[in-house]
Amino acid sequence: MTNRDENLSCLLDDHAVKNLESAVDELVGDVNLQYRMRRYRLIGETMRHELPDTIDNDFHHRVMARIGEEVSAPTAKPASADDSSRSAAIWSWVTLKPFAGLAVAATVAIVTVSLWQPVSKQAGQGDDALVLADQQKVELFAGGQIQGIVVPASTRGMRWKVSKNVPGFQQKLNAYLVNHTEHSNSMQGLIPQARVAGFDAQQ
Amino acid sequence: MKFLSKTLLLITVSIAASGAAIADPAMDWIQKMSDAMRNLNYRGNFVYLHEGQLESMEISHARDSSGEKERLISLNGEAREVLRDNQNLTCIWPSSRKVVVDNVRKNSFSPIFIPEDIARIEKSYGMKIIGRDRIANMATVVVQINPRDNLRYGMKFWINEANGLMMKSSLINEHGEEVEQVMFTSIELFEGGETLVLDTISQLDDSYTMIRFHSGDSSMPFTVDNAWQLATPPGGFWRDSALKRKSPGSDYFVQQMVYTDGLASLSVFIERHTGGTPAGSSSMGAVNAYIRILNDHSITAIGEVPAITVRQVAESITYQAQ
Repeated sequence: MTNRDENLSCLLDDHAVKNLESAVDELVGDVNLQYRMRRYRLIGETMRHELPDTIDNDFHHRVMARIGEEVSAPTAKPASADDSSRSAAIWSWVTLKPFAGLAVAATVAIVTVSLWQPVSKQAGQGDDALVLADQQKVELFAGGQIQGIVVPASTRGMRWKVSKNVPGFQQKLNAYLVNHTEHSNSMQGLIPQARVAGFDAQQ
Repeated sequence: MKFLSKTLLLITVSIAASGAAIADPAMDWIQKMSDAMRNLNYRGNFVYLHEGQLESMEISHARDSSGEKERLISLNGEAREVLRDNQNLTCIWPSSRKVVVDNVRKNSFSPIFIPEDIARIEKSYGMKIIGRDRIANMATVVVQINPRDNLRYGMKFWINEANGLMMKSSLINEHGEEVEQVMFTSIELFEGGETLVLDTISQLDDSYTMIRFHSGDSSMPFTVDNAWQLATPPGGFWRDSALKRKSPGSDYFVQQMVYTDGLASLSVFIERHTGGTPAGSSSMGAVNAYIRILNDHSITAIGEVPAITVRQVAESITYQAQ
């Protein structure tokens, strides 16, 4: 295993990396390394049984077909909506309805499988300083057309306070909480919904 | 004499009736708020405060012949959108190019209180109107809900006097601290009877991935294993529902049992213990969880209730083979 591969493996496995900044720079600048990282990540997910049952590869065809229908038959908007800024958005609520039977709980798990949060914790530095440095890398990823890599919006925010930090445990608790919110009927205003809507930005 | 008896009876009934009507005006406001949140068409921006952090969100809610629809958009941090109706919960993450849909229970978003529930709620909570306030430039009535024990949180609601909408809410822990708050900064009503179209924050194109986690129709219920029982529910809580579904990515099942006291609720999740779920307490904001391992299964009690409540519930779960 080369040094680069070793660094990559360490990044993904949450282990300490000798020179974090250069490892990240190398990763950002090397497309082959990025593809390799995706393969390693896939292997890791397979071993941890975190893969989805199936991935609906036909989804985008149906999405585009439906968008075409929406364009040809525009729908009325709410009277009080000031939607000028969204006039281009043609995706409507009903478009998503046929796709039922998926688990949002697991999406939280997906979104939380982020590369950069573990990295920032490995460095043993203050979180805030690393957040700024790493977010620049994150922006590169976000704008770099590297699809399939999940990008955290923020490394701040609340996380579960757990007695023992086991990999995947936070995701499991998130999944439980989402399912709890969806299947219970608490009278707590909008707090439960806000908690779920804010999930991935925090973790 | 007969006339006197009838008169006395009439007076007694009148007093009782008027007493019932004004016995709990605070509960009347809570009822009105729940109805308004469920039935009105509204759109607004609100802030969500938790653990010293402030999130800003936009909400649209509508009710039409097909039922309720709701959309939440985060206005800071990563763009996120959550769409919800009586059948589906859809989450969109534009930056990670993912769309996920899940089934939801087919009832209302806000509780529908029936007299039996109200009587039960009043056993666990005391309610009172503590004053008036102005939120988002609108007059509100402030209702405080105090738990009668330490098994549940207190709440405070600022309710729009004109239409009953919740303008602000606070969740208060057992130490009297406000742990989570939501407050509208602006809100408006839709015209009734119009078709609501909820446009997403970005156009979905073919780069988006739909990810499927359930191999089957998750709306298909599996038979609940009634051998799992909560021997002694915490005071005032009762079992509201139970369901069983397949655990994502495995052949195992997860059983969920939901308990409520009418206002607060908690869930118990039971699934085969495969490691990776350490026993003990966890918490996030006002949410507490407690995990216990029993008969090679992990039992997780989780909800917006104090730590003592989830622990008591998890410790009280038993398995009695039928």
